[in-house]
Amino acid sequence: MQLKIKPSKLQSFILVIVLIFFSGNIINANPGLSEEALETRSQKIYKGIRCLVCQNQSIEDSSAGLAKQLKVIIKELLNQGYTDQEIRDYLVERYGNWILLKPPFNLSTSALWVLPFIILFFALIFGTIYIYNKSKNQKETSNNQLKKEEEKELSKILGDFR
Amino acid sequence: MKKNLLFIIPILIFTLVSIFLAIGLFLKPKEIPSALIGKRIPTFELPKISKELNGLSEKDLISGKPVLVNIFASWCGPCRIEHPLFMELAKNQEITILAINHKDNPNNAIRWLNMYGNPYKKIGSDLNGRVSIDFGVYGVPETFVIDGNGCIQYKHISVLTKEILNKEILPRLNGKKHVKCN
Amino acid sequence: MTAEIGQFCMILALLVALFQVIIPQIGAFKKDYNLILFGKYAAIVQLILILFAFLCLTHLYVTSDFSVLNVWQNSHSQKPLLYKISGVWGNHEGSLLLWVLILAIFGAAVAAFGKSLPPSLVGRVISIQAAIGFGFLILLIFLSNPFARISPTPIDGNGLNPLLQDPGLAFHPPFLYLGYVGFSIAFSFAIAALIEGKVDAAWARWVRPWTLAAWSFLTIGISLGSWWAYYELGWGGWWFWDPVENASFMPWLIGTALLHSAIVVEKRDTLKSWTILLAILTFSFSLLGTFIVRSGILNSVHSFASDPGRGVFILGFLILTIGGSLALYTWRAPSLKGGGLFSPISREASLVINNLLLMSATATVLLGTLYPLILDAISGEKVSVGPPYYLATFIPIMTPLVIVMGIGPMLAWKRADLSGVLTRLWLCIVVTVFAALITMFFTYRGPILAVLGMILSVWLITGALADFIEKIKLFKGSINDTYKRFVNYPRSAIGGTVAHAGVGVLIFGITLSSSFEVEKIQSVKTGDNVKVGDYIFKFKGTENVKGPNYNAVRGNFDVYLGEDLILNMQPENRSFKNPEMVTTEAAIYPRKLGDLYAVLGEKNPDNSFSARLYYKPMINCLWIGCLMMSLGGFISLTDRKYRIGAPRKKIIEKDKPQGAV
Repeated sequence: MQLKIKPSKLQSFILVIVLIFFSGNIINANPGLSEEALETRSQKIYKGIRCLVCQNQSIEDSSAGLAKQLKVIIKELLNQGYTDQEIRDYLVERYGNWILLKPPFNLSTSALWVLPFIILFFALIFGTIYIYNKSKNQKETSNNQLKKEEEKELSKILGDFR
Repeated sequence: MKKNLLFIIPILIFTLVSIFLAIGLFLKPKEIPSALIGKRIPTFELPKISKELNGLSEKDLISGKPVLVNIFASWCGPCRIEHPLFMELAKNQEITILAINHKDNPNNAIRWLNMYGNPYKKIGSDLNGRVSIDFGVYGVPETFVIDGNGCIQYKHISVLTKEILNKEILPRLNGKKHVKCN
Repeated sequence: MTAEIGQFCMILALLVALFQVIIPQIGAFKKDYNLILFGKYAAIVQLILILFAFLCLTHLYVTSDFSVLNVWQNSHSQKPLLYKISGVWGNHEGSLLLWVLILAIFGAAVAAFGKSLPPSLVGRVISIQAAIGFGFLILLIFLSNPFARISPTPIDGNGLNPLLQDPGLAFHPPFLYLGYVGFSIAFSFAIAALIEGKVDAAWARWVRPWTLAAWSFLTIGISLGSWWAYYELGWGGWWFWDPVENASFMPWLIGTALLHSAIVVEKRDTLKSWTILLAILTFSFSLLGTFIVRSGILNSVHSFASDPGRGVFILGFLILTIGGSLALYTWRAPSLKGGGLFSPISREASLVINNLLLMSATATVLLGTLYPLILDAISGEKVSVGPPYYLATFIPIMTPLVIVMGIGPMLAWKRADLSGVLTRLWLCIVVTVFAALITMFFTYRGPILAVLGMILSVWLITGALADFIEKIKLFKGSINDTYKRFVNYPRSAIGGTVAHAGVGVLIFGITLSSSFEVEKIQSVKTGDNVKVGDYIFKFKGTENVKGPNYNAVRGNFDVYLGEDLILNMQPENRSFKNPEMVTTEAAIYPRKLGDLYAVLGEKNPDNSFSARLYYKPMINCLWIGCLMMSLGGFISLTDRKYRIGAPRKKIIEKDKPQGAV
């Protein structure tokens, strides 16, 4: 009985969670251009832009001259009303996709973005088949019983913890 | 048999990876090719560094015939290494060499040019480096080839060598290997 | 003379390695135990020779003998003694010598302590260890000689990169190599098992402690590196998904998978060929890491000076060892038959899922690391794969893993009762949901990652606690009974619980420190106040200080909480002379609930200083979590059944009939 009640509680919890999440998103849709907001927005962009001179650092982390200058430019553009995406496009136009720490999704990066999930998918399929086979054999094999006995004895000796 | 096939997968993947690693040994990860090849030059207007020398604007780069644009600075050590090459090149009247003086004090630049010679027809002073960024410059020296219509053809990063000059730059100045702008 | 003696020792070691490869292997085939015994002695002689060469190099560094090229390039007479010693492995040649030394230590350890192992297995393992050592000794002697002389002798050395002159980093490479190289034992055991065509529970029982030790060391090594990045690099970050970091993370991930699958082989005699593959792959990723760091093939903030010749050699060696072992695997592995069967809901099944997810995670990191190279090779196009990519791909793979982690240890072997386990975990589920709701309340409109991270960490920590409480029957039985159960609780299980809880604590630290971090980057003038969360940093100006081998500008911040002055922070901007370089020395003040972190940048033209000020909540959980993980490993290692020298003949005899294929 108890078990049956729990999921419904859980479901209502989930519903609340989903509602909170979405309501948050709707409110979020009107950005202000206060000093604070500008700072957070620009820092978010900095973190995604690769420093060209210093390799493998974002311009946020770098104190190189060019990185500093790019930061100034990004702030300027933000003040001119550029959107985050427009700013990234502005930089990509000049320096190529290399400058983005998050590679965009296009033909040449499709493998990069899709493969992890394909690998995961096949791994899970493979695992399911493997586990299924292991359990199917369990029912069929007849000399299994003897082995089980053996194993029980063995695990006793080994001090197996169950 | 079908099951044995599974055991081949690891070595197949490893073969693939090692092929790429082998190719990778001969690549240069630190050199980023220009994103602006086949693109129009940005519009710009740079002041002169002294009274006697001309400034530089995008019109100077659209002169009907290919030009070289060198990004240099007096504080840049490697620039001095490639400088004699430009001096020699400047002897050829056919070739126009222009320059952007990158984030440099104009007085220092003049002193530098007086010391090592001036191969440049026109020099624009890019004090804050903004035009250089529009050109996608990320270090000095860099050298651009721009065709007569203001279309960027080629960019060389770091010190220019005789080999690159003969193999990549001179043919392009003569209109070969042309890339069309849209 | 010292350099020549060192060089001579290396050459002798190379010769010994050659014999050590061939003779015990023949002995194992012919069942000639004298030949195997020869191999054992060779392994110990090998260790003595390489240790002597290593001590020679250390001596050269300590005495600042600049007639040796390597010392001249990387040391300086004015350097503190600790960094003279750590300078030995702060460069390609010396660190390679350390690598080979650790390899020899492990080889000799198998020879010395492997008395309970079948002699032929020991012979093969020693031989394979020597083969790896042989390859690296060739690289060392012919392509990266640390003992090369220069003439004339320079007056003083070039010095060590000041960023590396740091206690955290001094011990980072030795631990990292103990991990990397420690996995070579699992590798050698796997190859030996493939040659012998036999994998059984006893085999797994021998491999597991070595893997466990290597894994624990690697955990420490990686955390030390991360900790170093946190307080020394002054970017406020601790993990950058840099290729070199990934290079150490991949063997760790696969090693974790190996650790778990070896349990299945040990207890249930199944998953054999898979475990062998993992053993090969773990060490292969260690070798790949070595290649990436030393060939300069990828853009990285930290790697050794690259040299194409070395790159070609290491790649050749890589293809020979990994390719060879995988070919052997393709040929021999299909004949390894697993025994134990299990139902879809069981400990085995959960470990299979664990392994597949870890494997997918490793594949993702590998793909991200190599993709710029692959794309460059195919089309010449350059892309960057940075932290945002890994966050987007790694988290979805790790999330189910962590969820399974919470349940797995409570599932019974062979056939488990999932609803029963979930019922027993009801309190954990309630607490987790509660934690999620609280986080949601505090991060209203904030990132979902904070909520997800919170769910995962609370789930893991409470899960580990519940597992422990239940197994010792706390609150259920009498105190006496509980105490008895606690004493008899196998160390390996305690270790697992601690390590799992450690992952939870780590995730907790990551989530809070990244979601609730306050970051202020701005230029400050004397007298300026900067508000960082609840704290106010008051900049009181700078002073010039002189260190042993640097000059520094020391900033002075008073930190107020409300009205109260709570502390003074003094971040430094150090200018080193040998070699010339500027580093930032962050001032970090750990408080109970988080770190205050201040970095002083350079002076601006208007006499202000650029400063980075942070409040990082719960960041210490990161280090505590890592510590718990490695501690868990070491606790497992002390388990009765793994203890070296413990009488276990009886156990092995009992194992044999069951494990024979």
